[in-house]
Amino acid sequence: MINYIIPSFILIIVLIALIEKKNVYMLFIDGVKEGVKTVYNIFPYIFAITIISGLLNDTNILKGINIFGLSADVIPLIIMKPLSGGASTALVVDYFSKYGPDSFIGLFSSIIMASTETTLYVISIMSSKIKIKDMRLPIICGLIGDITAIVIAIIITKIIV
Amino acid sequence: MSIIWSVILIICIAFSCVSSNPSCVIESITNSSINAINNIWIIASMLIFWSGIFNILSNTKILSKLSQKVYGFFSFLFKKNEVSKKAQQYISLNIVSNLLGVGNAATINSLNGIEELQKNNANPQKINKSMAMFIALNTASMQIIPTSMISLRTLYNSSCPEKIIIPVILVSFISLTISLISVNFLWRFYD
Repeated sequence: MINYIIPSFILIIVLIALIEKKNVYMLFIDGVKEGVKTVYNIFPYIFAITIISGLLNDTNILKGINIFGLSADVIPLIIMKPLSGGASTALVVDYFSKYGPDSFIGLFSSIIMASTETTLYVISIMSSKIKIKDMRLPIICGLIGDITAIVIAIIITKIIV
Repeated sequence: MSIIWSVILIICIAFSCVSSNPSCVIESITNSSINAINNIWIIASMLIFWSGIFNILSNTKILSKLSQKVYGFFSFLFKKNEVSKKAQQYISLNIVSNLLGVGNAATINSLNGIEELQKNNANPQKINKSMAMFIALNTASMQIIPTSMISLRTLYNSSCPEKIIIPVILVSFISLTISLISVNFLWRFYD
């Protein structure tokens, strides 16, 4: 049942656009162009982050660090996610190819990726727009939310894995 | 970001020199570069497709119609006198595109929305409570179906890529609620 969600989502979008007499094909092409630009823009970040995540792994520097029963591998993700979406996607791709998406780490990182935002990045672009520097309150509240998400995600992953 | 990147790089290189294994540094960098090139093809394939589909969606009238109704649900978060009509529109468009996971549309509407809220701000040197609430809505994830994560899991041969949907909704909802409550609670110390 749940396997039908995404295909039908795509189907509905295309149907609605056709009913509204939009040029579906050109809209898709425009979106693809944007997508290509986005990929071009995020590649340097992915490259940079793969280098340091590789160093973190290969030098074994995080070995032995253990917080809340989490393996050291997910700590870079917890540090990166509030800062950069591209960087954290690169980390998750790395976990998936190493441990598989259905392992504890795979599930935990999927949940964290999808249920938290790039908190510090969002706050910094929003504050740059209105030119107010004092963003202590949003930063504190955003990070409280992120920590809550991490704790709940650990509990849920332990149950469903 | 720059500090985090440099600190991790320096610590790693220093650590491997101290633990007398300096050759693993360049070995690791070579492998990571190859990995990065391989990974970008996987990421690109999924990202480009969804970018096309969401561009169709964001041009439909349904998106703007839905947005008018949405503000009604979330109006309790904002103070009436701090939010103009125009700001309401941007806020609801932002919420809708966040719920649907249209990242680019959400970003554009969050910037327009915060700018409109700033126009109505009594003290332009400080954010007001509605602005704090709006930022909190954007720093938490509200996406209903985590499409990009599911397609990434599918690419890596997950046996059940959709397994994360319910956990994600639960985690997002709880963390969003906690950050909104903390804005409400901490506001008295800030104001």
